Amino acid sequence: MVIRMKTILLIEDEKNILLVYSKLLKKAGYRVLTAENGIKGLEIAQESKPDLIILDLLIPKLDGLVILETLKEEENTADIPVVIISANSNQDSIENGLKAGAENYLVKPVSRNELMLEIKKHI
Amino acid sequence: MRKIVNSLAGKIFLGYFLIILILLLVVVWAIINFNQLSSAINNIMEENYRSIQASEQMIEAIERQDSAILLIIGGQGQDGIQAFRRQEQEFLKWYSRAEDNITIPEEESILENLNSSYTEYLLNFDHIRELQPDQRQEYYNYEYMNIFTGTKEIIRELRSVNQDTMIQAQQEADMRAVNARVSTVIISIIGIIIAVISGLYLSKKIISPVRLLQSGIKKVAAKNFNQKLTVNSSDEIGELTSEFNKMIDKLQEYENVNVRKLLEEKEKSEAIVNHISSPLLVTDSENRIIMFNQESKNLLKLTESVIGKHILEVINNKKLFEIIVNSEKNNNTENRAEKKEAPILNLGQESDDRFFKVLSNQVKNNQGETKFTVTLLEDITRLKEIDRLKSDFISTVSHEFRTPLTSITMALNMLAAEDVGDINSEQQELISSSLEDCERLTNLVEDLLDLSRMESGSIELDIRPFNIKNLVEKTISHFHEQAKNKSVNLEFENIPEKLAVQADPNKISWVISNLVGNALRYTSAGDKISISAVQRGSKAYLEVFDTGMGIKSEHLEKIFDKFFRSDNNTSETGSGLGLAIAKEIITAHQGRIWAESSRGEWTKFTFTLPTAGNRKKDGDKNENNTAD
Repeated sequence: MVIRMKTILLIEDEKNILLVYSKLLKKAGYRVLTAENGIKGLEIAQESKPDLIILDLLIPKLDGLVILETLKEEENTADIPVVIISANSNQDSIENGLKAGAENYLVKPVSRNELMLEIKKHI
Repeated sequence: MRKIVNSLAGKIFLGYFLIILILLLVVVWAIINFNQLSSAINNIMEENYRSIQASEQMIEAIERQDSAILLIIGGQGQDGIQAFRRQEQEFLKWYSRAEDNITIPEEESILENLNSSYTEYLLNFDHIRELQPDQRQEYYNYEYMNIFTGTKEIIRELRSVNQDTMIQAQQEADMRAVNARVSTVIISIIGIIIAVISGLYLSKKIISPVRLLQSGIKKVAAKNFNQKLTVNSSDEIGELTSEFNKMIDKLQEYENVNVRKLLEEKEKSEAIVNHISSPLLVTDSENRIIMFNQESKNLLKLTESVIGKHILEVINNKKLFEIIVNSEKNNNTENRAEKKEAPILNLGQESDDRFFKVLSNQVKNNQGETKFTVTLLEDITRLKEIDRLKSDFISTVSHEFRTPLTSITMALNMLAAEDVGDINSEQQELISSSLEDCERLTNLVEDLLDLSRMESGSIELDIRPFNIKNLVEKTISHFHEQAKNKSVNLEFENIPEKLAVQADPNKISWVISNLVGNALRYTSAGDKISISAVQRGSKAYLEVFDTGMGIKSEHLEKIFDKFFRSDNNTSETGSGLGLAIAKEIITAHQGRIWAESSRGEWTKFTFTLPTAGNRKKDGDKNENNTAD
């Protein structure tokens, strides 16, 4: 029985974060896809339908919240769990994120264990 | 002398003197008249009467001589001659008296006539004696009789002349008496008139300056100092008038000085008020506007006509009105917990925000009554803007810090968890110290963000009633282990079971955590940390007390400043923002936080929170319980 590797899409413009996250997730046994801007992130999400999307809100070209709303509107991507990890800790921002359908909203900085626990909740 | 005459007493004396003089004149005049009258009577009595008497005697004598002649004619010659000679002697005696008493011019010629007539009479007597007795009768009848009657006629003439003179003198005396009466009456009338006129003149002369003085005093009483009184007499009234003028001068000088001083003071205060670059408003005890400066005029669109009007009539801002009305209550509060910071109002027009700190102060008189209220509006729009910019800046910087911190922390976490390969103990040590600093930096960023959010007021408080005791219990549960490790006795005591406050429990929990955390940091083995709460009025007082090293008295206020660290703070992990955030949180709850300490003995942090709803009664009971 072949266990299909779970795919996680990281939409994040910070190269260092992408590097650290993808290294961590790969080590943990996930297939990691990365997108450095909003448009690319949305494309990948729609094409490859990952098991989980880790989304930053402040990203170039397309706002994270718009990506989230778009994904939730489309039938074939609406079920993909999305976890927001943002530097923005404003209550409004958190509320908007959760209202738009995010599973959780984590405020940076997020520790390794925190991230791992969160991922395990959804896949 | 002049002085006496010009003096008031002199004038009065002059009046009397005039009357005395007139009286004297009348007396003298009367005496003169009396004298004249008496001399006129004397003339009658003495001069004429004597002549008349002489005439009478002479007539008697000559008649007796005539009888003596008849005796001779009758034959008794010797007796007749003797009688004749005797009567001759008598006649001559009276004649010489009459001669001595000539008072009327005619008398002399009459006496001369009498003399010659009597001489002829005597010669005829001799002639009779020489005649024969029979011839004697005839001679007597024809010759002698004529001479006799002639002489007698002359004497009678003398008598009648004197009688006429006497009548004349009597008439003259009568006339003099009449004249004396009339002239005395006239002189008296003239005297009375003069006395009345001079009396009127003098009294007028005395009274008129008094009248002038009186009207002058009335004018001065009405503060009309411009009109001087004219000094037109040199008596006591004149002196009084000139003294009065001097007094007016002094009064005017005094008045001028006072008015000038008042004007100066007024100008000064107006200048000061107008040069205050913040809007200033002065209202009286009835809240009517009595003064404002140019800045107020511009800000509140005031005109001069609003002076005296009620403030709400002019400035339709109930909040501002309430602040001004309640200024006394706020300023009188000595209690630190009750003292509020100056309220801030947005007094901008339409969309143009202008924030003012309202500093309202009541000015009282000696009786403690409010005379007026001075309200200063301190423009803090710019400060607020700078504050906002600062908060924005801190917020941005913090956000920017978060992303790299995430990757660093995560990378270090992975290294430490040996996700990317084995590490030796030395490497492990370096990684964990780096992680510690990452945590510190993360905490600082979080605190900075919290603070900037609190300061900008962008954080919303989740205010609801909750039980203090439960919250304290829950909050300090995280510290029990830490306290146990340090051998510090951490407990809560005297917290009323039912004491509930109206606040954001998460924020208050944060504050308690911070205070307890601080206390733990500055206490050592054997020390005690206790948390207590009481209710006073509508406020709950929460205290965090420790027997730690204490705080220097000069630092008691500063410890709530951002990044303030006391000398003995050896902590590496604190951001230096904890108390600043705590203060922001408590202030946002309309409470106050302060510290008291005795160096080396104890420290006590107290903060106040509004109690929840209608719990006052319970609270009072609880307060009594705690007192027990």
